[in-house]
Amino acid sequence: MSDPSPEELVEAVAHLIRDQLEQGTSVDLPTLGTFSVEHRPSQTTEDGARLPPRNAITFTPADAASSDQ
Amino acid sequence: MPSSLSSLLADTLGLSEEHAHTLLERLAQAIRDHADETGVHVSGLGTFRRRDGALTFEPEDDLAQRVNQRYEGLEAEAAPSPPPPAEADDSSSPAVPLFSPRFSPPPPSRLTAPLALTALDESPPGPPAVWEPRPDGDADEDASDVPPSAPADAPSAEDEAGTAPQRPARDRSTGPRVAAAVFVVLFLLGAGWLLLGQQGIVSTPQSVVSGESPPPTAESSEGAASSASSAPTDTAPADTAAAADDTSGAPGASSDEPPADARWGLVVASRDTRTAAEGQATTFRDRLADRALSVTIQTGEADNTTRHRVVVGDFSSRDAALEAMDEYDALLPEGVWLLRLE
Repeated sequence: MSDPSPEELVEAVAHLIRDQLEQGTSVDLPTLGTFSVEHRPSQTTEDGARLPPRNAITFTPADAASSDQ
Repeated sequence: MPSSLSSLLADTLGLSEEHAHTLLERLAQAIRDHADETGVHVSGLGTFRRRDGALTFEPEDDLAQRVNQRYEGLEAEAAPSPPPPAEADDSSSPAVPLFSPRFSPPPPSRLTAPLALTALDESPPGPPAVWEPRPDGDADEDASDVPPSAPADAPSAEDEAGTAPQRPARDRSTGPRVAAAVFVVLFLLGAGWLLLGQQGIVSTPQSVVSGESPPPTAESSEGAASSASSAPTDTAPADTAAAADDTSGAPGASSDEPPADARWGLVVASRDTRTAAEGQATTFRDRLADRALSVTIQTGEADNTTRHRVVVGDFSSRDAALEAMDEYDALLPEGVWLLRLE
Protein backbone atom coordinates (compact mmCIF):
# COMPACT_ATOMS: atom_id res chain seq x y z
CA MET A 1 0.00 0.00 0.00
CA SER A 2 1.31 3.42 -0.91
CA ASP A 3 1.95 6.07 1.63
CA PRO A 4 -1.17 7.90 2.75
CA SER A 5 -1.62 11.54 1.93
CA PRO A 6 -1.00 14.01 4.71
CA GLU A 7 -4.75 14.50 5.07
CA GLU A 8 -5.35 10.78 5.28
CA LEU A 9 -2.57 10.43 7.81
CA VAL A 10 -3.89 13.22 10.02
CA GLU A 11 -7.41 11.87 9.79
CA ALA A 12 -6.31 8.36 10.65
CA VAL A 13 -4.17 9.52 13.56
CA ALA A 14 -6.93 11.73 14.94
CA HIS A 15 -9.44 8.90 14.61
CA LEU A 16 -7.20 6.45 16.41
CA ILE A 17 -6.40 8.86 19.23
CA ARG A 18 -10.10 9.64 19.71
CA ASP A 19 -11.01 6.01 19.88
CA GLN A 20 -8.38 5.28 22.47
CA LEU A 21 -9.30 8.27 24.60
CA GLU A 22 -12.99 7.47 24.47
CA GLN A 23 -12.13 4.05 25.84
CA GLY A 24 -10.11 5.71 28.56
CA THR A 25 -6.85 4.44 27.22
CA SER A 26 -3.78 6.56 27.02
CA VAL A 27 -2.07 6.79 23.67
CA ASP A 28 1.45 7.88 22.85
CA LEU A 29 2.30 9.82 19.77
CA PRO A 30 6.02 9.23 19.28
CA THR A 31 8.30 12.23 19.87
CA LEU A 32 5.32 14.46 20.56
CA GLY A 33 3.65 13.33 23.78
CA THR A 34 1.10 11.16 25.47
CA PHE A 35 -2.64 11.70 25.49
CA SER A 36 -4.60 10.35 28.39
CA VAL A 37 -7.90 10.71 30.17
CA GLU A 38 -7.95 11.62 33.84
CA HIS A 39 -10.99 11.48 36.00
CA ARG A 40 -11.71 14.56 38.04
CA PRO A 41 -14.10 13.96 40.92
CA SER A 42 -16.74 16.46 41.79
CA GLN A 43 -15.51 19.50 43.57
CA THR A 44 -17.03 22.21 45.67
CA THR A 45 -15.91 25.66 44.82
CA GLU A 46 -15.35 28.41 47.33
CA ASP A 47 -18.63 30.04 46.43
CA GLY A 48 -20.51 26.88 47.30
CA ALA A 49 -21.10 25.49 43.83
CA ARG A 50 -20.65 21.76 43.50
CA LEU A 51 -19.11 20.81 40.20
CA PRO A 52 -19.94 17.45 38.70
CA PRO A 53 -17.29 14.85 38.11
CA ARG A 54 -15.76 14.76 34.68
CA ASN A 55 -13.08 13.25 32.59
CA ALA A 56 -10.36 15.53 31.38
CA ILE A 57 -8.02 14.94 28.46
CA THR A 58 -4.47 15.61 29.42
CA PHE A 59 -1.43 15.84 27.23
CA THR A 60 2.05 15.21 28.50
CA PRO A 61 4.59 16.43 26.01
CA ALA A 62 7.59 14.36 25.34
CA ASP A 63 10.90 15.75 26.43
CA ALA A 64 11.87 16.35 22.85
CA ALA A 65 8.63 18.20 22.19
CA SER A 66 9.14 20.56 25.10
CA SER A 67 12.78 21.27 24.49
CA ASP A 68 12.51 21.54 20.73
CA GLN A 69 12.02 25.19 20.01
CA MET B 1 0.69 1.51 29.55
CA PRO B 2 -0.10 3.79 26.63
CA SER B 3 -1.23 2.14 23.49
CA SER B 4 1.22 2.09 20.71
CA LEU B 5 -0.14 4.41 18.09
CA SER B 6 2.39 3.10 15.60
CA SER B 7 0.95 -0.39 15.64
CA LEU B 8 -2.60 0.90 15.52
CA LEU B 9 -1.80 3.11 12.58
CA ALA B 10 -0.02 0.28 10.88
CA ASP B 11 -3.06 -1.92 11.24
CA THR B 12 -5.37 0.83 10.07
CA LEU B 13 -3.45 1.88 7.01
CA GLY B 14 -1.94 -1.50 6.21
CA LEU B 15 1.58 -0.33 6.77
CA SER B 16 4.45 -1.79 8.59
CA GLU B 17 4.83 -0.66 12.12
CA GLU B 18 8.17 0.89 11.38
CA HIS B 19 6.77 2.80 8.46
CA ALA B 20 3.87 3.96 10.55
CA HIS B 21 6.24 5.02 13.25
CA THR B 22 8.19 7.06 10.75
CA LEU B 23 5.06 8.76 9.49
CA LEU B 24 4.03 9.58 13.03
CA GLU B 25 7.39 11.10 13.77
CA ARG B 26 7.05 13.30 10.71
CA LEU B 27 3.63 14.35 11.80
CA ALA B 28 4.90 15.13 15.28
CA GLN B 29 7.78 17.13 13.88
CA ALA B 30 5.37 19.15 11.75
CA ILE B 31 3.25 19.89 14.76
CA ARG B 32 6.21 20.92 16.84
CA ASP B 33 7.53 23.15 14.08
CA HIS B 34 4.29 25.02 13.66
CA ALA B 35 3.13 25.11 17.23
CA ASP B 36 3.49 28.78 17.92
CA GLU B 37 1.27 31.11 19.86
CA THR B 38 -1.60 30.70 17.46
CA GLY B 39 -1.29 26.92 17.57
CA VAL B 40 -1.69 24.08 15.18
CA HIS B 41 -5.14 22.65 14.87
CA VAL B 42 -5.51 18.97 14.06
CA SER B 43 -9.00 18.36 12.81
CA GLY B 44 -10.95 16.00 15.00
CA LEU B 45 -8.32 16.13 17.71
CA GLY B 46 -7.48 19.57 19.01
CA THR B 47 -5.03 22.41 19.01
CA PHE B 48 -1.36 22.30 19.93
CA ARG B 49 0.27 25.43 21.24
CA ARG B 50 3.63 26.29 22.63
CA ARG B 51 3.44 28.37 25.75
CA ASP B 52 6.46 29.36 27.76
CA GLY B 53 8.48 26.79 25.83
CA ALA B 54 6.14 23.94 26.68
CA LEU B 55 3.92 22.23 24.17
CA THR B 56 0.28 22.23 25.23
CA PHE B 57 -2.77 20.58 23.81
CA GLU B 58 -6.38 21.67 23.97
CA PRO B 59 -8.83 19.06 22.76
CA GLU B 60 -11.78 19.92 20.60
CA ASP B 61 -15.01 20.36 22.43
CA ASP B 62 -16.44 17.37 20.65
CA LEU B 63 -13.62 15.16 21.86
CA ALA B 64 -13.83 16.53 25.39
CA GLN B 65 -17.54 15.76 25.43
CA ARG B 66 -17.09 12.29 24.06
CA VAL B 67 -14.81 11.28 26.90
CA ASN B 68 -17.48 12.60 29.30
CA GLN B 69 -20.45 10.79 27.89
CA ARG B 70 -21.15 9.12 31.19
CA TYR B 71 -21.45 12.54 32.80
CA GLU B 72 -23.35 14.10 29.96
CA GLY B 73 -25.97 16.55 31.09
CA LEU B 74 -24.61 16.98 34.57
CA GLU B 75 -24.27 20.53 35.66
CA ALA B 76 -22.90 22.29 38.65
CA GLU B 77 -25.31 22.86 41.46
CA ALA B 78 -25.33 24.88 44.60
CA ALA B 79 -24.16 22.91 47.59
CA PRO B 80 -26.77 23.33 50.31
CA SER B 81 -24.48 22.27 53.10
CA PRO B 82 -20.79 22.07 53.86
CA PRO B 83 -18.91 19.46 51.90
CA PRO B 84 -18.97 16.01 53.41
CA PRO B 85 -15.89 14.63 55.07
CA ALA B 86 -13.20 13.49 52.69
CA GLU B 87 -13.03 10.03 54.18
CA ALA B 88 -16.55 9.22 53.10
CA ASP B 89 -16.66 6.52 50.51
CA ASP B 90 -19.10 5.63 47.84
CA SER B 91 -20.53 2.81 49.89
CA SER B 92 -22.23 5.31 52.17
CA SER B 93 -23.58 7.33 49.31
CA PRO B 94 -27.20 6.94 48.44
CA ALA B 95 -28.21 5.82 45.02
CA VAL B 96 -29.63 9.25 44.26
CA PRO B 97 -27.71 10.83 41.40
CA LEU B 98 -25.72 13.81 42.42
CA PHE B 99 -25.93 15.87 39.33
CA SER B 100 -29.04 14.76 37.68
CA PRO B 101 -30.56 17.14 35.16
CA ARG B 102 -33.65 17.04 37.36
CA PHE B 103 -31.84 19.32 39.75
CA SER B 104 -32.36 23.01 39.33
CA PRO B 105 -29.45 24.56 37.52
CA PRO B 106 -27.17 26.80 39.51
CA PRO B 107 -26.79 30.46 38.78
CA PRO B 108 -24.90 31.00 35.54
CA SER B 109 -22.22 32.96 37.32
CA ARG B 110 -21.13 29.82 39.11
CA LEU B 111 -20.48 27.98 35.93
CA THR B 112 -17.14 28.26 34.41
CA ALA B 113 -16.88 27.56 30.75
CA PRO B 114 -14.39 24.71 30.91
CA LEU B 115 -16.36 22.86 33.53
CA ALA B 116 -19.85 23.34 32.28
CA LEU B 117 -21.02 20.21 30.59
CA THR B 118 -23.57 20.64 27.90
CA ALA B 119 -25.50 18.11 25.94
CA LEU B 120 -24.17 17.30 22.55
CA ASP B 121 -26.41 18.20 19.72
CA GLU B 122 -25.26 15.24 17.73
CA SER B 123 -25.32 12.87 20.60
CA PRO B 124 -27.68 9.98 20.10
CA PRO B 125 -30.97 10.20 21.90
CA GLY B 126 -31.19 8.12 24.97
CA PRO B 127 -32.15 8.18 28.56
CA PRO B 128 -31.14 11.26 30.49
CA ALA B 129 -27.65 11.11 31.76
CA VAL B 130 -27.57 9.98 35.33
CA TRP B 131 -24.41 9.86 37.27
CA GLU B 132 -23.75 6.48 38.67
CA PRO B 133 -21.15 5.48 41.21
CA ARG B 134 -18.11 4.16 39.54
CA PRO B 135 -16.63 0.80 40.37
CA ASP B 136 -14.82 0.34 43.61
CA GLY B 137 -11.53 1.23 42.04
CA ASP B 138 -12.60 4.85 41.90
CA ALA B 139 -13.83 4.99 45.43
CA ASP B 140 -10.97 7.09 46.70
CA GLU B 141 -11.06 9.31 43.72
CA ASP B 142 -14.71 10.11 44.15
CA ALA B 143 -14.62 10.63 47.82
CA SER B 144 -15.92 14.13 47.43
CA ASP B 145 -18.77 12.91 45.29
CA VAL B 146 -20.73 12.17 48.37
CA PRO B 147 -23.79 14.33 48.10
CA PRO B 148 -24.22 17.12 50.58
CA SER B 149 -27.44 15.51 51.57
CA ALA B 150 -25.64 12.40 52.71
CA PRO B 151 -27.14 11.35 56.02
CA ALA B 152 -24.02 12.07 58.00
CA ASP B 153 -26.08 12.93 61.01
CA ALA B 154 -28.62 10.22 60.47
CA PRO B 155 -29.30 8.10 63.52
CA SER B 156 -26.97 5.20 63.77
CA ALA B 157 -28.01 1.65 64.16
CA GLU B 158 -27.31 1.90 67.85
CA ASP B 159 -29.57 4.87 68.17
CA GLU B 160 -32.30 3.05 66.38
CA ALA B 161 -31.75 0.07 68.61
CA GLY B 162 -32.58 2.19 71.59
CA THR B 163 -29.15 2.89 73.05
CA ALA B 164 -29.54 6.56 72.44
CA PRO B 165 -30.79 8.64 75.36
CA GLN B 166 -34.47 8.22 75.68
CA ARG B 167 -36.59 11.27 75.71
CA PRO B 168 -39.15 11.33 78.48
CA ALA B 169 -42.37 10.07 77.10
CA ARG B 170 -45.31 12.35 77.47
CA ASP B 171 -47.72 11.13 80.08
CA ARG B 172 -50.99 11.25 78.33
CA SER B 173 -52.90 10.11 81.42
CA THR B 174 -52.09 13.27 83.37
CA GLY B 175 -54.98 15.25 81.96
CA PRO B 176 -57.71 12.77 82.82
CA ARG B 177 -56.19 12.21 86.21
CA VAL B 178 -56.20 15.89 87.01
CA ALA B 179 -59.75 16.21 85.79
CA ALA B 180 -60.80 13.25 87.92
CA ALA B 181 -59.05 14.71 90.95
CA VAL B 182 -60.74 18.06 90.45
CA PHE B 183 -64.07 16.31 90.07
CA VAL B 184 -63.55 14.34 93.28
CA VAL B 185 -62.54 17.47 95.18
CA LEU B 186 -65.57 19.34 93.92
CA PHE B 187 -67.79 16.41 94.79
CA LEU B 188 -66.40 16.25 98.32
CA LEU B 189 -66.80 19.99 98.75
CA GLY B 190 -70.37 19.80 97.56
CA ALA B 191 -71.13 16.87 99.80
CA GLY B 192 -69.55 18.62 102.73
CA TRP B 193 -71.47 21.75 101.98
CA LEU B 194 -74.71 19.82 101.79
CA LEU B 195 -73.95 18.00 105.03
CA LEU B 196 -73.01 21.17 106.88
CA GLY B 197 -76.03 22.89 105.43
CA GLN B 198 -78.28 20.15 106.70
CA GLN B 199 -76.71 20.54 110.10
CA GLY B 200 -77.35 24.26 109.95
CA ILE B 201 -73.73 25.28 110.17
CA VAL B 202 -73.72 26.90 106.74
CA SER B 203 -76.33 27.79 104.21
CA THR B 204 -77.64 24.84 102.30
CA PRO B 205 -77.19 24.82 98.55
CA GLN B 206 -80.94 25.07 98.15
CA SER B 207 -81.10 28.18 100.31
CA VAL B 208 -78.21 29.73 98.45
CA VAL B 209 -79.91 29.09 95.16
CA SER B 210 -83.17 30.46 96.47
CA GLY B 211 -81.48 33.38 98.22
CA GLU B 212 -82.40 32.30 101.74
CA SER B 213 -80.15 32.77 104.74
CA PRO B 214 -79.00 29.72 106.66
CA PRO B 215 -81.34 28.33 109.25
CA PRO B 216 -80.39 29.21 112.76
CA THR B 217 -78.96 26.60 114.97
CA ALA B 218 -80.22 25.88 118.44
CA GLU B 219 -77.63 28.18 119.90
CA SER B 220 -78.43 30.99 117.51
CA SER B 221 -82.16 30.56 117.26
CA GLU B 222 -82.83 33.37 119.61
CA GLY B 223 -80.84 35.81 117.56
CA ALA B 224 -82.37 34.56 114.41
CA ALA B 225 -85.83 34.91 115.78
CA SER B 226 -85.15 38.44 116.81
CA SER B 227 -83.66 39.48 113.51
CA ALA B 228 -85.26 37.72 110.62
CA SER B 229 -87.08 34.53 111.60
CA SER B 230 -86.92 33.36 108.06
CA ALA B 231 -86.21 29.77 109.08
CA PRO B 232 -86.38 29.44 112.80
CA THR B 233 -86.17 26.18 114.63
CA ASP B 234 -88.66 25.02 117.14
CA THR B 235 -86.80 25.35 120.38
CA ALA B 236 -89.61 26.24 122.68
CA PRO B 237 -88.96 25.95 126.41
CA ALA B 238 -89.47 22.62 128.10
CA ASP B 239 -89.56 20.85 124.78
CA THR B 240 -86.54 21.87 122.79
CA ALA B 241 -85.81 18.45 121.38
CA ALA B 242 -89.33 17.81 120.23
CA ALA B 243 -89.58 21.08 118.40
CA ALA B 244 -86.29 20.99 116.57
CA ASP B 245 -87.80 20.19 113.18
CA ASP B 246 -90.97 22.20 113.40
CA THR B 247 -90.07 25.02 111.08
CA SER B 248 -90.40 23.90 107.54
CA GLY B 249 -94.12 24.22 107.48
CA ALA B 250 -94.23 27.57 109.16
CA PRO B 251 -95.48 30.33 106.94
CA GLY B 252 -92.73 32.56 108.22
CA ALA B 253 -90.16 30.20 106.83
CA SER B 254 -91.34 30.69 103.31
CA SER B 255 -89.14 32.66 101.04
CA ASP B 256 -92.15 34.15 99.33
CA GLU B 257 -92.97 37.69 100.21
CA PRO B 258 -95.92 37.71 102.58
CA PRO B 259 -98.95 39.67 101.57
CA ALA B 260 -99.33 43.13 103.00
CA ASP B 261 -102.29 42.11 105.12
CA ALA B 262 -100.57 39.08 106.63
CA ARG B 263 -100.90 38.48 110.32
CA TRP B 264 -97.99 37.46 112.51
CA GLY B 265 -97.57 35.68 115.81
CA LEU B 266 -94.82 34.50 118.10
CA VAL B 267 -94.35 30.78 118.39
CA VAL B 268 -93.31 29.98 121.92
CA ALA B 269 -93.76 26.19 121.83
CA SER B 270 -94.41 23.36 119.42
CA ARG B 271 -95.72 19.95 120.36
CA ASP B 272 -96.63 16.86 118.46
CA THR B 273 -99.81 16.35 120.37
CA ARG B 274 -102.65 18.67 120.88
CA THR B 275 -102.80 17.91 124.56
CA ALA B 276 -99.24 18.84 125.14
CA ALA B 277 -99.74 22.02 123.16
CA GLU B 278 -102.77 22.86 125.24
CA GLY B 279 -100.70 22.52 128.40
CA GLN B 280 -98.11 24.92 127.08
CA ALA B 281 -100.82 27.31 125.96
CA THR B 282 -102.29 27.34 129.41
CA THR B 283 -98.92 28.11 130.88
CA PHE B 284 -98.38 31.10 128.61
CA ARG B 285 -101.90 32.34 129.08
CA ASP B 286 -101.27 32.48 132.76
CA ARG B 287 -97.90 34.15 132.26
CA LEU B 288 -99.27 36.77 129.87
CA ALA B 289 -102.64 37.24 131.50
CA ASP B 290 -102.13 40.91 132.10
CA ARG B 291 -100.48 41.65 128.74
CA ALA B 292 -103.52 41.55 126.53
CA LEU B 293 -101.90 38.97 124.26
CA SER B 294 -103.75 36.07 122.85
CA VAL B 295 -102.42 32.55 123.13
CA THR B 296 -103.61 30.17 120.42
CA ILE B 297 -102.64 26.84 118.98
CA GLN B 298 -101.79 26.62 115.27
CA THR B 299 -101.64 23.15 113.77
CA GLY B 300 -99.48 22.46 110.82
CA GLU B 301 -97.37 19.87 109.05
CA ALA B 302 -93.64 19.67 109.39
CA ASP B 303 -91.65 16.79 107.94
CA ASN B 304 -94.80 14.76 107.48
CA THR B 305 -95.71 15.13 111.11
CA THR B 306 -98.39 17.21 112.67
CA ARG B 307 -97.11 19.95 114.91
CA HIS B 308 -99.19 21.96 117.31
CA ARG B 309 -97.62 25.36 117.78
CA VAL B 310 -98.39 27.63 120.68
CA VAL B 311 -98.63 31.13 119.22
CA VAL B 312 -98.63 34.31 121.27
CA GLY B 313 -100.16 37.45 119.88
CA ASP B 314 -101.74 38.43 116.61
CA PHE B 315 -99.84 41.24 114.99
CA SER B 316 -100.65 43.12 111.82
CA SER B 317 -97.09 43.27 110.60
CA ARG B 318 -93.81 41.57 110.95
CA ASP B 319 -92.25 44.61 112.56
CA ALA B 320 -94.98 44.75 115.16
CA ALA B 321 -94.36 41.12 116.01
CA LEU B 322 -90.64 41.79 116.34
CA GLU B 323 -91.32 44.76 118.62
CA ALA B 324 -93.52 42.62 120.81
CA MET B 325 -90.80 39.96 120.92
CA ASP B 326 -88.41 42.54 122.29
CA GLU B 327 -90.96 43.98 124.64
CA TYR B 328 -91.94 40.68 126.22
CA ASP B 329 -88.53 39.15 126.01
CA ALA B 330 -88.45 38.46 129.71
CA LEU B 331 -91.72 36.56 129.55
CA LEU B 332 -91.00 34.55 126.47
CA PRO B 333 -88.75 31.54 126.27
CA GLU B 334 -85.64 31.32 124.16
CA GLY B 335 -86.04 30.27 120.61
CA VAL B 336 -89.19 32.22 119.86
CA TRP B 337 -89.75 32.68 116.15
CA LEU B 338 -92.17 34.52 113.99
CA LEU B 339 -95.01 32.75 112.31
CA ARG B 340 -97.24 34.16 109.66
CA LEU B 341 -100.74 33.28 110.62
CA GLU B 342 -103.08 31.82 108.07
